Amino acid sequence: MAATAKADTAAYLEPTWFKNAPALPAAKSISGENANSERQIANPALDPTEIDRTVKLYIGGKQARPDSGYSMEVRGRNREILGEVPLGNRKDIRNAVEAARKASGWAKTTAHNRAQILFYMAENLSQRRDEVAHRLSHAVGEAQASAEVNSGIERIFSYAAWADKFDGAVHNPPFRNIAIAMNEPIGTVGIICPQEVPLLGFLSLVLPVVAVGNTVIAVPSETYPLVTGDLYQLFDTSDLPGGVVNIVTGYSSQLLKVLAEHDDVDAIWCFADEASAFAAKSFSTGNLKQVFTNEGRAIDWFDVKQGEGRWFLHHATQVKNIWVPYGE
Amino acid sequence: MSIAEKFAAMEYGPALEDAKEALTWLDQHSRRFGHFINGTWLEPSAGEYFDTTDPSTGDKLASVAQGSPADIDAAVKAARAAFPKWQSLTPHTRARYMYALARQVQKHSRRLAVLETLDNGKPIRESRDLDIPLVARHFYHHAGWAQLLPQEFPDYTACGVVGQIIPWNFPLLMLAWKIAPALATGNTVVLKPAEFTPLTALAFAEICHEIGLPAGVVNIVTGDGSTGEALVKHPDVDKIAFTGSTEVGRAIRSATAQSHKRLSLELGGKSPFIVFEDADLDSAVEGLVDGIWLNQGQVCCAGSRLLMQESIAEPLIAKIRERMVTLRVGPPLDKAIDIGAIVAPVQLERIQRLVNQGIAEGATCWQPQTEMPSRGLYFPPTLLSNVHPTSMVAQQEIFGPVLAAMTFRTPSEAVELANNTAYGLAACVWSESINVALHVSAQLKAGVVWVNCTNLFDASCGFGGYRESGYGRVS
Amino acid sequence: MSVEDSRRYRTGDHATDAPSEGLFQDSDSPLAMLCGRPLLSNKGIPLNREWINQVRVNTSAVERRAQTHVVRRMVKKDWQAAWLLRAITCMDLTTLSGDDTDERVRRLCAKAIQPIQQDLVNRLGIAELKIRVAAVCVYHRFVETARTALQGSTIPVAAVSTGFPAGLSPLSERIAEIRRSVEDGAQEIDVVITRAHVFGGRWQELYDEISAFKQASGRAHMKVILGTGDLLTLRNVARASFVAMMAGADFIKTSTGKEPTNATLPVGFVMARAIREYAQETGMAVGFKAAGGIRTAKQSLEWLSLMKEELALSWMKAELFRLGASGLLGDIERQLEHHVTGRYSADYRHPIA
Repeated sequence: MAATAKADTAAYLEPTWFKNAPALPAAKSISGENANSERQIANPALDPTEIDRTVKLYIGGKQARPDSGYSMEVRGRNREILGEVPLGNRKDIRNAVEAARKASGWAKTTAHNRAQILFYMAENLSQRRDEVAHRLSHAVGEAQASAEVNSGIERIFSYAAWADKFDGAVHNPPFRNIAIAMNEPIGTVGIICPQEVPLLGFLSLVLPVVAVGNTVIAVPSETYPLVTGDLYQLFDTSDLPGGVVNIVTGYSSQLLKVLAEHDDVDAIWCFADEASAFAAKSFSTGNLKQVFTNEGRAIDWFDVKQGEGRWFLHHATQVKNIWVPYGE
Repeated sequence: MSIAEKFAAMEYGPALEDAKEALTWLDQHSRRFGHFINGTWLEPSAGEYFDTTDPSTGDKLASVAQGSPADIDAAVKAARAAFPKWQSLTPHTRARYMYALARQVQKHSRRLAVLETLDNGKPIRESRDLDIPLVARHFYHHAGWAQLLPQEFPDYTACGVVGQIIPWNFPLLMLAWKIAPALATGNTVVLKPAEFTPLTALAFAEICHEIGLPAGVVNIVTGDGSTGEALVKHPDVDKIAFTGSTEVGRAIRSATAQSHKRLSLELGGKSPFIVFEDADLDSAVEGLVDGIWLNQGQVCCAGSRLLMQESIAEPLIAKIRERMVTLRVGPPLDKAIDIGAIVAPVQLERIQRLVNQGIAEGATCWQPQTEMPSRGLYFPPTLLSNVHPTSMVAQQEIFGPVLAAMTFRTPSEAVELANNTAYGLAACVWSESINVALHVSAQLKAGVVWVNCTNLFDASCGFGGYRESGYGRVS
Repeated sequence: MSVEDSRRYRTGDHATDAPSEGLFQDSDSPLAMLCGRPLLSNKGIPLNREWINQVRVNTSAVERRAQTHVVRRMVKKDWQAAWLLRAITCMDLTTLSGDDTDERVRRLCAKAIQPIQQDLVNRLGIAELKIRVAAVCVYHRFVETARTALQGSTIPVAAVSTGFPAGLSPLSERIAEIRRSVEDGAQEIDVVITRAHVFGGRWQELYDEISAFKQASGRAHMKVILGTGDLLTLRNVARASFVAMMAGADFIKTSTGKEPTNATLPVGFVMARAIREYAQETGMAVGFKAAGGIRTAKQSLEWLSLMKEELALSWMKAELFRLGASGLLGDIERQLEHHVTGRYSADYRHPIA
């Protein structure tokens, strides 16, 4: 979409690939009663000499234990247990939203500053490329894990680049004035990340939102939420202010409802199956928050045309038109 | 009264616009209109009609078809059938149709303006100088977008069949805001005009026919809320675009949530009008005239909450009162009238009820001793002072010529008060310091901020609300 | 809250030794009414710099006001005829050309006494109104000629003075010029200010200059020409308006008619608003004169309605409102004839001035 494009024209168009995208199969819910039925020892897949890695929630720049005091198992491709993540609940979401709101100063930082932090993130992920890919491979296989990390680094670069380039416009209405169309962040955005591409999916949604100055409460892939541990290390080491990105693991359908209903969340992005898209729209009518979903359709996150760019940035911003007349 | 007496009094006297041509047009249609579906006029399937009246007299203007689900279905089917061909026309061909619409609106501009004023009650000066010129401007501007579409939107596709529901406050202008971008981008349309003001949409349907717009590209189905509901719920509609109240907008959100229908909503507001101590106060007062007293205050982005810096509150209130005395309330066809008729009895009652409630909550109500017409639906310009953020009149959209005034001490308090609302449609900032004005503008939660001006609109500039004032990047 | 509370001055506050007796009124009876409040003629007040510094004018907002004003208000039919007659009574019929002669001035005076032909007066049924113009405005050289020609009528002679139109001759000469015109019988003096004082923000010098003019004018009515076409910015126009009123102007007037642009509606709004504020703060009424570039009947209606909207009925009378024009009367006559006959008129059908 061109830089000059106006939103009311864009409102009647959609990306051609998206219109034709196939539907995702309904998610196999891990949530519910039988989730913890097959008890096994945690982390059998990992090197026994390594100390067990405790993944916590990430709220306000700090690692936090869940309110519930429960954990949920994370299983690998072969149903083996990979580890455990906290079972976040509505109170964790509440805390995360408060932390995100407190971090709203992020919107006032300069775009140049945000760009630098994103570049730094890419640098840090690059440093840990192999270990992150190794851990991820237990969930998605080596080939995808490596591709996710490599594409992820590129994606971070893309949004670091966009951070100081997704500008507004100056319109010339037929009066003696100018109208400045400013792209502004929406505020606090709740994001339900795709299941099937845990790392790249998370980065593809969280980064455009953060790049333009929003703060985020993200629910990572329910399939492989352990990615949270790698992600917050990435954020912590990249000078990202605490609270800009908050991560709550748990059953995404439950957390989606709490996020969508929360009146202090300004937008919800939901990229899962069709039922989740409908749920995001239904639960969010209270404060009429902006909703952006994949409509349950499959997105090829590795394809740059589908997985990044203006389409996402457009949904991460709102336009403020400031009319400024002139004349001495 | 002799000329000599008029010489002494120096009153304005009546200056009525002739409504003959618009009335003749209604007569030519036997004052009875069906739906415009698939390029022809169709009787409503259920055979039901309702009256549309002139709010300044209560006289019936015409009978209009009440749209049923079957009528909506016929219109959606026509739009669906027309879609593939319309979408695959060359951009240039679509641009030419849009251009023809713009020209035809201009050629019949006065008849459309008079018709709008008859049906809606807004002053003819506004329909003639604001509404209709902006309608033409919109079709011109979007004829341009149609032409440039493949260059500016490569790899993008039209949504398909779009259902559009528009309000009664700017009937033809809202139609243009909805139809122009939809057609330019290759969509086909089923539009339901507001129950109170269907006439200009029907005149527009005739224009579509006159220019030879392919059948089914634009369909107009008249009716009430139930007609709109049938449109919203129709399974073969790809997108719903709605402008109206936040309450109905929320209902539409719920009704479409379990579907893939795309949605854009342009909803209510309680827009702040902030005056700093270094503002040109006389000009700020004129800004209010253009803000809260445009279209009888029935404007979603009306500057209905006046926030005054304490140091200038007293002189500003005095100036506002003096100006209110010179506002002329009267027959909307009079070319020298500032405030015309309220669109419908239900709206007039609502305004009165909310003002009474405001007074009961402790607001001071001031109205000038303005001459009011003896018949028709009128409400005098009203100033409510001693209003606090907790007051109902400071929170709720009144949608009438009623201004609620409050004070602030510092720019940051002004921002805090301005943003203390669930809405976020528009805001005005008056200050002679560009630093203050832009600093404050940047912090306001509003889709439009007018610095030292009010209610300026243009096709080139987006218009859409933050928070509960809008959804889906309307424009 | 009331205007009363926020006023800068209360009645009786103003101390000035400027001569105060106007020709048009007994100084104790009110000259005008504004928002229910009686106003006296202007006696001036000491220069108030703080007030001048607080002046704010937003140009684009004023321009919008002027643009919409002309479509917001209109008068039709009999009302329009009445308003056009009113415009005539507020007219300073003017000739200020290098080729003026005594005979030309006498012809103008004859037109001033009988601005519309008798036939039209009868058909409009307005004989009792005794319509005549407000004043005849000439160079000093023709004051005597005009005074003689107007004898028997009550029409005053106005003289442009003080080195009109540039106003750059030595102060003593400019003051002497006023005195000579008053001695010759001019009852109104149109003075021009030194525009350089405005550009330089030298308000005291400007105030002193205008005060000196006022002193020299004596009982004659003083109209202060701001030269708005030279001042260019509306904020300058507003500030100069206030200084002129503080220094005792009976009228403030837009232009000399010799500037690149003359009386424009935005300038009119700014000056009218200044007059309103001054009246509200001091209780004294100052008149307004638009001059230069006013040629059509429609323009005269726009100026009258501007006075009605921004001020009050008192500013729609010759005591407080003037239109300085030479060509306007002809167009008004044609419109009046059209009103009576329903046929569009031609200028040769009306006696020239």
